[in-house]
Amino acid sequence: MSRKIAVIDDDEVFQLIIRKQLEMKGLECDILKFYNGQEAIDFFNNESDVKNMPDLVLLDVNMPVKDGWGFLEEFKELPDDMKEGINLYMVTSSVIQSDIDRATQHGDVKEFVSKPITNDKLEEIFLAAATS
Amino acid sequence: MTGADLLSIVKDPILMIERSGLVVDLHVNDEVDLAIVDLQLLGKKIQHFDFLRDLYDCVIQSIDDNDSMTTYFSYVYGAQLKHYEVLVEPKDGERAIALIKEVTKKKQRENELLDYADLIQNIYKGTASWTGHAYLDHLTIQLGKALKSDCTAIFLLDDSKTTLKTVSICDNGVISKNQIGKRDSSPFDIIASNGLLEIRSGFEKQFPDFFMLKDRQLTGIVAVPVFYNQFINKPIGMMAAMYTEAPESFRQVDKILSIFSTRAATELERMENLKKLEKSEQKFRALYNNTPALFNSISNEGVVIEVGDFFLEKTGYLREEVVGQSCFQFVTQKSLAYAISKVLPKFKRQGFCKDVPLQCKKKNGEVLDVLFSATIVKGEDGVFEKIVTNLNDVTELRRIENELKEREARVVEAANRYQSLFDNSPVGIIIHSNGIIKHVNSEAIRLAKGATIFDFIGKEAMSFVHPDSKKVAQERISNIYNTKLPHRNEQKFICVDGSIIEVEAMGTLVEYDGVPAVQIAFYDISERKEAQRQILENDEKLKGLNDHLAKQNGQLEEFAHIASHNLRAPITNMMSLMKIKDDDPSPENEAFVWENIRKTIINLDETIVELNDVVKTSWELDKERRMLNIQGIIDKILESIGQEIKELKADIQVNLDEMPSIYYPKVYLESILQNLITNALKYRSQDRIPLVKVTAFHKEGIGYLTVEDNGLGIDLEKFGSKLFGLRKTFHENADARGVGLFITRAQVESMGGEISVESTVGKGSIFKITFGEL
Repeated sequence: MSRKIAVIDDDEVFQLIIRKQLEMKGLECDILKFYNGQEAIDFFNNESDVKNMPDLVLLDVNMPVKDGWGFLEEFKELPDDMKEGINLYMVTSSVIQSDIDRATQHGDVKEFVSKPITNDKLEEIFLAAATS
Repeated sequence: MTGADLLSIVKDPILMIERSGLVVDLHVNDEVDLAIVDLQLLGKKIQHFDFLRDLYDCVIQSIDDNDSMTTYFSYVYGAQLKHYEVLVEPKDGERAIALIKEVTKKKQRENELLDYADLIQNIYKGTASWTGHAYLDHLTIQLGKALKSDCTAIFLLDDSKTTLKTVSICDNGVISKNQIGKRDSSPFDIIASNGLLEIRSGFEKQFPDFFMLKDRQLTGIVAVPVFYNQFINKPIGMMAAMYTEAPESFRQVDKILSIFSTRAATELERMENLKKLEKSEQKFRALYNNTPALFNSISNEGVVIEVGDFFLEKTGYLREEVVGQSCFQFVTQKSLAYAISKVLPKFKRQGFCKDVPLQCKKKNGEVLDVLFSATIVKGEDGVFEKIVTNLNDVTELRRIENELKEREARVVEAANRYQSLFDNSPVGIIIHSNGIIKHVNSEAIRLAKGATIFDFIGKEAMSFVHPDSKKVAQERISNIYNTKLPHRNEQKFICVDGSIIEVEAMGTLVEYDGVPAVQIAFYDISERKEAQRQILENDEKLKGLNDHLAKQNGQLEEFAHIASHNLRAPITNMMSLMKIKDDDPSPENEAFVWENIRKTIINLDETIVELNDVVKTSWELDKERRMLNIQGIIDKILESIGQEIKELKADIQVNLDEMPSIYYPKVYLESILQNLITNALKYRSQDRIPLVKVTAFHKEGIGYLTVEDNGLGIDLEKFGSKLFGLRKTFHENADARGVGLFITRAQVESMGGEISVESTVGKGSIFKITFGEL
């Protein structure tokens, strides 16, 4: 079974970089691309099969239509069995303390990671998600 | 003149008597001088009649001396003793003529007078050695003798004036037991009103119930009232002589009775006074020992003779420690000096002193404040006996007096202080009672712009209260009277000159001239109120300014947030790309890196342009308002997007009839209208021809602008709170950059206005701008 990773970010270049970094580390996976929070939450709401759930989510904060916080609000309401295998990381260029605090206090966020994310860091969280 | 001649002239009997005593001639009226005729003197010698011995001697003497002489004789003729006066005239050396004149009546009067004198003498003699009841008994005995009565008595009215009692009764020379009975049935009232009562017979019938008649057979009475010497109008009783058989005449009896009654009255009065004296002496003794007055008696030398129990009790001395001592050792040095220098000289002069304040020394050394009174008591002989003194303990009185004085002083002081406070108070004070002003102080006159107190006193307190404040003032007065607690309030006050000041007034319940009154203390707070109003106004302004600054601050924060994120995001991308190239510098990777660096740089440029737009339009320095023709601005915008309108066949309806112009910064109005109109077209519905309505109007002085479209509409439940935020785009529209509405809101709010939106998804939106006051 191949791994699934969801990248929720309106920055297309970032999406490409993540793909490239995973390739370079030899980490095979399917990448689900979402350009804003709304697209992502729609996916989670509509996908009833737990097997199709990603085991790793990289979430940006500032996005149009629905930002990272808006996504988290709705993600919280998903059934526990669906969220069980999902490891959610906030990956953002924001270095504002209030954003960091808000993220780390959120029960569904595993870690707040500042951009740029390195290959090693990406590998670390990928593997952590795989073993959880 | 011959003998015959003489006889014819003289009507009285005449005798011719020789030296031998022989009656040689007799001339007598047989009808008148029966007693002389009866003697049958002719031819007889007069010396043979015992009672004529004096006449015989007188005849001899007269013949011898040849001189006229007078002599007397008396003899009993029938039952009557007759008295005669005889004038003897010598005739011729051997004979004498005797002229006989009857003087029986004259002699009787003489005898009566003698008896009367004897009687008086007897009364004095008989009573001189007696006093009291013995004296009275003696009087009744003497009276009985004098009047030859069967019963004599002295009666006295008792205190109730209803009863008559005897103080002495004498029955035929013997003293009887005293009796008592009713006044009504006695002759007392008749005696009292007439001054005398004489009844010869029938007395017992006239006063059948008179108690004296109970055991006595009495038919006649002579009685007079008894008066005290001082009180001659009101008899205290009566004195009566009563008879079993009354004599033919009561002549002289009344006089005798009067004399006796006067004597009785004198004695009765003396007895009464004695009784009173005894009583008062008893009282005095009781006072001396039992009353809480400090009686002492002092000798002429100042030595204490007697001392009252109360004095001993009060001072703590024993009787033996006082009696025999100098009275001066019981007063303080100060009082002694005062007594000797001031009191004694006057006392000696007047014989008494009264209420002299002195201080006594108690045995334990304490001082007793007393009022000293003293009087000299003289004996019956008028010689100094002792000085009776009274010391009235006024220690407690003095203490209370001093306390009262102090209290009075305090009250006076408090009153003075109050008056001074009142007059010099820095606040105005008005006292009113029953709504009428009773008193004001000078500050009140000054504050209320009056001239004198008469601008206020007697006037209604409410007449100085502004109509706006009447209710609150009336409430305050009621509260003061009801709760008796001070009440404070602010009110408008009408001055004497009609001007109005604002005052803070504190009302307190006080008593003025004995009636409840309200004391209003007040001061002018007009300036303070004005300052307060200004502060509030400024506060409002500051609040507005603060709100505005907070909004701007929020916008700045939002901007900083976005700016940091949006600028940093492309840079982090480039850092990642550089790392990828470093890690694997293969040609394939290089191409990937370059391609994405290019994209990132374009992205960065766009971001910088956007941010510049925000900075430029949101915080435009030229905020100067000017009168703008709204239609002119809209025309310019429509012209710039004319091509698009034409392509979309959009219908733009503009209605500015109500508010064709506005006083507003030009750049802002252009930006606002541009954003709203282009948004309306940008988020149009594909299902229908775009319709945009622009309307400007004003209502109650406030300007409004609405831009309505029939476009996609916004789900306000989801996005309402973020609609005007930076970088919020709610449409998956390629052009949406999330900047326009942020800038529009910033501009409207920076000019003190507001922007709001009403929207229905699928139907369209209405953006409404409130410009604020025009």
